[in-house]
Amino acid sequence: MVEPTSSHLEAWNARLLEYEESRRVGPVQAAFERMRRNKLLLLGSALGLVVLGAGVLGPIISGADPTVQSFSTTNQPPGFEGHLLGTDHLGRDLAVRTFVGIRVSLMVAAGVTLLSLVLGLLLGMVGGFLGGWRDRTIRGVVDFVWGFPLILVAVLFAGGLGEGLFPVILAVGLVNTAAIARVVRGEVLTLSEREFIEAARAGGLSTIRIMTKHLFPNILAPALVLASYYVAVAIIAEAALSFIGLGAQPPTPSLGGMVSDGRNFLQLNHWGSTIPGLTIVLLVLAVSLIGDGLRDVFDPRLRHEAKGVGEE
Amino acid sequence: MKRVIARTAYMVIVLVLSSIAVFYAIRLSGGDAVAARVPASASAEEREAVREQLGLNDPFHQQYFDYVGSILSGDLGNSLTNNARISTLIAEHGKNSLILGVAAFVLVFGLGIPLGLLASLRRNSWWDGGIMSFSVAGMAVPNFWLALLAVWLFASVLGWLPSAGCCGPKQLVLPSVVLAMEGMALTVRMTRSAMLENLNQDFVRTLRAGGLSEVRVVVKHVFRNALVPIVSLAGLRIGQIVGYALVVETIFGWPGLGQVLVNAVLRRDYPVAQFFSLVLIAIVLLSNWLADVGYTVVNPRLRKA
Amino acid sequence: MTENVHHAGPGPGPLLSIRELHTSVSTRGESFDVVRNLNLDIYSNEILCLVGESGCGKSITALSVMGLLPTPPVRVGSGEILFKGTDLLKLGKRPMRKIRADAISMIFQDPLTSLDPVFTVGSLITEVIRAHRDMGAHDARELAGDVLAKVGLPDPAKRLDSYPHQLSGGMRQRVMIALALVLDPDILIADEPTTALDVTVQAQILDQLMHEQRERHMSMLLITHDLAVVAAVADRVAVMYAGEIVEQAPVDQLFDDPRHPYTQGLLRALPQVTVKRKRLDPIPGLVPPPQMMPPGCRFSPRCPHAIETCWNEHPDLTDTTDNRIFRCFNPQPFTS
Repeated sequence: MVEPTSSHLEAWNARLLEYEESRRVGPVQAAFERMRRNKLLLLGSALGLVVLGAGVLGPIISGADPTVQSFSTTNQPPGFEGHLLGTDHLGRDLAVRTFVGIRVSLMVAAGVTLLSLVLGLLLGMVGGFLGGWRDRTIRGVVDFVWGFPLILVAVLFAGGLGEGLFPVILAVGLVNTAAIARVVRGEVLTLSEREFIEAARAGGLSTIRIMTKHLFPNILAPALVLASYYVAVAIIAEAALSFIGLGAQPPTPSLGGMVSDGRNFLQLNHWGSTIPGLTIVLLVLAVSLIGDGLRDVFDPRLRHEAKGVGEE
Repeated sequence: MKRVIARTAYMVIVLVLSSIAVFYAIRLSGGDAVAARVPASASAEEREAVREQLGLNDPFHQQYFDYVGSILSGDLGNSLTNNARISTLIAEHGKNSLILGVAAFVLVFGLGIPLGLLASLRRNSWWDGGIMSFSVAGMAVPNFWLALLAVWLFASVLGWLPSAGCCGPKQLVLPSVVLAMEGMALTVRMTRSAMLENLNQDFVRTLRAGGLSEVRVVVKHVFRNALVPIVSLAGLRIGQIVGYALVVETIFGWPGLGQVLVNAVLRRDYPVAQFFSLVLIAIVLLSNWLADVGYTVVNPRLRKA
Repeated sequence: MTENVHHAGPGPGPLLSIRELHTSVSTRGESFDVVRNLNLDIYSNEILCLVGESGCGKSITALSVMGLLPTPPVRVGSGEILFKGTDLLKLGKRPMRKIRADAISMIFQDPLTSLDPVFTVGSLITEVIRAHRDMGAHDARELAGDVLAKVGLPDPAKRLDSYPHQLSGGMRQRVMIALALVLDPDILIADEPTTALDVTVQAQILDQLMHEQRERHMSMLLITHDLAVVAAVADRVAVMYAGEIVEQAPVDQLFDDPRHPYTQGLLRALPQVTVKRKRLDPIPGLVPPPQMMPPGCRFSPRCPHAIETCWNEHPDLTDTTDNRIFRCFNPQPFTS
């Protein structure tokens, strides 16, 4: 080969390499990049922080008691005599009640998520990995629960266990368990085909060990992302049930219950109902934007899975 | 066909299991059933007599079979609160619920699918943006609050529609729209994404290469394929309508099955709660079954060669 | 611009003539050619093979002819595609639809995803027939059955009511062929029709295609990356590299005496069953990305015979005295 050609070749290869470098991004970098570009996730996170901050810090800063009644100052608009958001029909401070209501919502959401994540992971992994009659049984139960309307399940539970937050958490948690178990099972089936699980099996590792050491870490991320998606579902369900009187019982302030209290006084002071209502919308919006965003960033494949499951 | 038979058997099994579960749950708090029938001053002997009379001292499975037997013979018993016959309650309120449910169903699919289609065909236009924003709002606003807002706007401020009542067309508008809202929002979203997904399939290119008009390709073929996932989740949509009916009927005072069940649970009216729960479970199971059969119809890949 | 001197209709002139075609992709503000200055003629009753590595622009060329480019992001920038004297690029939507399947047909690589899964084979074929011919449902169905029988689908009457998923890959590809040939087109474009199939089925499908071409006296543009297929089927061959045609020749001449170093490389890289060689001889390097083409000859970075000129200037297609067309400054005799 003649000399000029090889120097041309070197120059060309250098250019090509530079071009490829300029295009390539690492996986972490790519995730960050997607996150940065994902404006909805940013918006959701900002919104979430505000609502969360109000829920966590609000009661501490104001120091007021959400249950103190004052019959001389009922149904007052926001800004009245040091009541930031006004008062409700019993003269209680709406701001503090809203803040505590957010806490209640988040507590229910946390309980539901914990329950559905633990149970869903367990059922999905056992069914998907062990197969056989265990899988068939689990799938039968899970498919049944998954197809069931959340509110109806919760009302049935309230019928059996009495009204309150516990049956709500149990009902929503179990229905969401089914949704998570379905996805986890599918993931496990895919993973079981992969080389590293095959290798672990061939290497004679016990089933329990493969499941905990090899399957679990790979399942956790998608399950968490999915669970975050169901937080919104839990919040709406709790609010709806409290609204019809089957959820949180007085004097515990819950957003749904507050909307219900306020609806009889709409003409006098619509804020009593508007403020908790808007808070629910913001909370749900924040949580679902974060859930959507996380899914896009970390696991675009799950998009399809979650498409049909935003119900109740 | 085999699939349909299997699903039918599954539905029956689940219905039986649910009825046992509901029966057991109600029996767990069965003491109140006695309390509701005897005055507070009644002695222990009197209570025991009522227990015996109600069959509450029989073994559990005996009680269950008795109950099933009485259902099958058409004797559904009476309400504890107003002594109305449960069979009459079911007939009256069932009709009202059916009206509301069908109206919501028509809105979910009859409006949700066309809107999703429009959004997918005018992708990234103002139409698309508007419809998708509406869809996001429909999913984020809880329906009970939406109900309040709608009543406030259309009944109190504008005075166009009544805020509650039953069962004329005017009274139907607000409850059915509120009941349908979230399902409609989800249907819009699903239709749009299924259309976009199928528009990118290879078979679309083949059809175009066959010289078919664009309208035909999109309306007949792409839409037909997009229907598959929509129908597969139709059971969930119907279940959702049933579930939300509990809330929406209560808010609008629509005298349907859901309102009766919620009131029965709140007032510890066990015979009513028990039977209405079973009826709603049966409706949900039936709708899931229907959706499953529909799915087999729209998706030939499930039929055997 | 080349003058439109070609004859209309059958005769010595080409049936289809692609003139100076540029097709480009636009993404995120940048735009680049994926087919560059392409000239290609297809004559009646011949099989022309278009050969090249994946991504060299073969399929884009075919889709440009059919007017089926995924626009956006891909669109024809300039050029002419003359079919019987009419420029297809200037045709409106409706007349172009009449051309498809009736005059120019196309079959695709993956028969699994290329057939609408929720309709029966029969209804797909009848729909194409009735889009072009004023024919009753019954007659159309009969015609569909006939064409399925002709393309060698076993039990065609029963298969009319089968769904695509109920057929094997080879059978599905036969359905694709039936769909493309049912209206007796003048030209069939086959884009890697056998790539997705098993080896034994590949031979059957190729055989069927050659048979149909002879029977119907139609022209066929076969797009493939497989030189073995080319050797078995082609009358003439055009070799594409990085969006350009680099060599064009009758099939025997191309295999006996390839002029372009890329063609030579392709032939050297071909494993031969009969000759036992110590090792295969692949072409070094990769096809450059379309956004980043070498300034001179597009093959220069991978070419064993590149000289100074190759790096600086872009070679034109040369017509030599022995009527061979290729694009090279420094052609060397072929040694295998």
